[in-house]
Amino acid sequence: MSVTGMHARTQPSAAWAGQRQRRTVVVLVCLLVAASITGCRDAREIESVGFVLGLGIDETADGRIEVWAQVALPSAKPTEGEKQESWRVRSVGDTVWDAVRQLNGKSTKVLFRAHVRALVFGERFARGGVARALDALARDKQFRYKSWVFVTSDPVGDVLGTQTKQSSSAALFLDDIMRNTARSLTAPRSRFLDLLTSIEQPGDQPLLARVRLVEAEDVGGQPEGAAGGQEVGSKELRVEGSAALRGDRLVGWLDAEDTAMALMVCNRLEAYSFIMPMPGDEGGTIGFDMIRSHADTLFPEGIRTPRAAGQVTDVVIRVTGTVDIREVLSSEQLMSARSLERLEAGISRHLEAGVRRLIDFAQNRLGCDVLGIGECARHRLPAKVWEEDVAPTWHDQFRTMRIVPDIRFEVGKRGMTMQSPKPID
Amino acid sequence: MIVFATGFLAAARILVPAAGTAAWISALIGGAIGLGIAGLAGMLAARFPDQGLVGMAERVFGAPLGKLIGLTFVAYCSVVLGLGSRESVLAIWIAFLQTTPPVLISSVFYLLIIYAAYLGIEAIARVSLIFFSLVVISLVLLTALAIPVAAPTRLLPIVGNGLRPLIHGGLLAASYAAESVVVLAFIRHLKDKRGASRAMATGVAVGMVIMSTATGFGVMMLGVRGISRVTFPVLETARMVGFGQFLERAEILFLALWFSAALLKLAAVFYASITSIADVLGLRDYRPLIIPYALLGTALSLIPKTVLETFDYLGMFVKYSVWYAIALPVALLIGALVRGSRRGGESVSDRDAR
Repeated sequence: MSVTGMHARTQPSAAWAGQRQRRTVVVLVCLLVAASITGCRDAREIESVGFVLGLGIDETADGRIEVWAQVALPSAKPTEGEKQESWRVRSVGDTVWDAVRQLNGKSTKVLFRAHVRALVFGERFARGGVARALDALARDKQFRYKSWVFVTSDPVGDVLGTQTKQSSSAALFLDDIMRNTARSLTAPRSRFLDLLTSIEQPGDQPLLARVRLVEAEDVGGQPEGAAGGQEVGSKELRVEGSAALRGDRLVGWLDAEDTAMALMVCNRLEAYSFIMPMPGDEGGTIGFDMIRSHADTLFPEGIRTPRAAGQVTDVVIRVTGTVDIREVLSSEQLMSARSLERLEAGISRHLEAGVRRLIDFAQNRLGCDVLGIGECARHRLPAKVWEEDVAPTWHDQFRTMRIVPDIRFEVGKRGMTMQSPKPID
Repeated sequence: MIVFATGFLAAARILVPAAGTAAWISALIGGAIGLGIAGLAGMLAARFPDQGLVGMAERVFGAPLGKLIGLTFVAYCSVVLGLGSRESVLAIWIAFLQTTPPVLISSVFYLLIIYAAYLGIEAIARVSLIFFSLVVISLVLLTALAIPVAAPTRLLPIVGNGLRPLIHGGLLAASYAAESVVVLAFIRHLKDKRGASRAMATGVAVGMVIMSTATGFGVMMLGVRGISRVTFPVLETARMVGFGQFLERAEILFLALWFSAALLKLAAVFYASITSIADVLGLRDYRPLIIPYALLGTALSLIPKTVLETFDYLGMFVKYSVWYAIALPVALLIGALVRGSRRGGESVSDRDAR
């Protein structure tokens, strides 16, 4: 409605105007007073708040739930060397919420969960079903759906307790890894939100990033282990590979290469580097950066009908993409069109073999659709057909269908030099 | 703002179970139906440029039946007011002020509505003009920030649960657009009466595009099942977006703006309702009705004891109210055509304005 076009019909008398002004002043004073005392009654100083950065959930041997919280300790002197920057607390309860509420009793600070960067599930808990944690966390008004979710086969307490010099806490280290090194990571960028949406879809089963404790590598001659962040012999965190879930239960682990293949097939692979033997030169190797890939899942004609959708037996996964050459250690310098064609065929075969391994693993070992084939089917089907006819039996269909990978990659850039430097014998 | 200010907080919860992934399209279909209603209302306004809704009804059907129609309109506005204020209060109470009694939040809400009603429709419209742009900016910002988190494939299949559910969803969505009939109570204050249809149609179109966008992004971020589960999908969307690591947890900023928009919408509905009551009762001034009606409104907003009850009532309202909103202008127009009524009369707001 146009206000400029509106009649200003109200023309109050001077007395009415004066009265209105007085009322306005009274209302404004009331509002100002109300605004200035907001929060005074239950004000909390920042020092009394414990910012939970990492949350770990596992199951004890006797079937109880243990929850770990890594809490940041804000300090007025951040540079103080001996100052502890974070603190870990553990509690055990019958349910996740029972354990979480008991954490509050163990802390002198009010635990604030809005800054949880990493949620780490232990293997035992994940095998029993992560849904036991989802309800309590999804209801929590503080908890963020953007938190990263990890699964570990190591003790959750040890994972959250790992000291690192790159970040002030393990949770922040994991957050930095997921944010900053996404393009070189062979782990899915799994957020709590993705987990929530995918556990309910049989055609899009969750892949969660795996975090492991590995022996810190010898930093080789650098004083006091400064370069790697850990002392020799200590443990460090490594995010690599993934945990495959069927519904909400962990059913197996995917190594880094399988994870990359799964992400590629689901169009979620941001970047991937790999080394393979040079085709036609035994002993030679060649390294690549995958800079682009696109996967299409091709179904037989007529899938849209309920009958056909319920009996999908053949699927073709077509992946096309481009790789850049990053390293050539071979006498074959790829200076002819034929050698490049041979290389592209070799790359396609290499990746196809990886995808075949993944398909075999998913169908015969995991028994769940981590390839997102069902999700592609869902896009093509009327929602009712998917929900009623296909989704309930999708796991079984997936295990028996014939999935054919069709991988076609081409070589893109070859770097700043055409040929390797050649030393004189 | 009347179209989307309160409804868009939870519209996706109602549209998605009906239309599935095509809920955003159903909002657009609802918008198209709403445009029809706005057109009918505009034709009425052109036929009776100096009348409020009660005046129009009395002119067409005579005083007794006209007053009865006026009372049904008041009942409609009261339900919009009660449900709208309850929804807004719940959004604040559940997500932010958990320890504050909802009756206190509701009281603050109604105090501001009372103040706006005392100032009249001009003040409400002028403040709306300021807040509308801020609200639109907030929504554009929210949409931009939501893009990195959104998964467009979640909108597939494009027709969702099928054509029939899509149309059913469209009718549900139309009930939000249909709330624009409230404007009939004060459309006579427009200077350019010929532009009434266009102004209402623009409002409906903008409101429903906003609702469609909010629903679409909700589905893209939370999925069909997720969106049916959360209490306030738009609020959940706002919770998930951020910019880098320095703009996070900004949902309170969004909600503050949306709260203002809801306040202005409900103030307009409140004003429409009390001026219509004054017209029905033949009062010269609507102001004595403000406090009693505000008490009634507060009581109405507290009838649903739980969130579940609120959404049940809301579900029922969106299911049936669209038919009332269509029937009202249609009946008045048909009656006017049959009786050949045109122009004339004076109502309480005009007397008040002088």
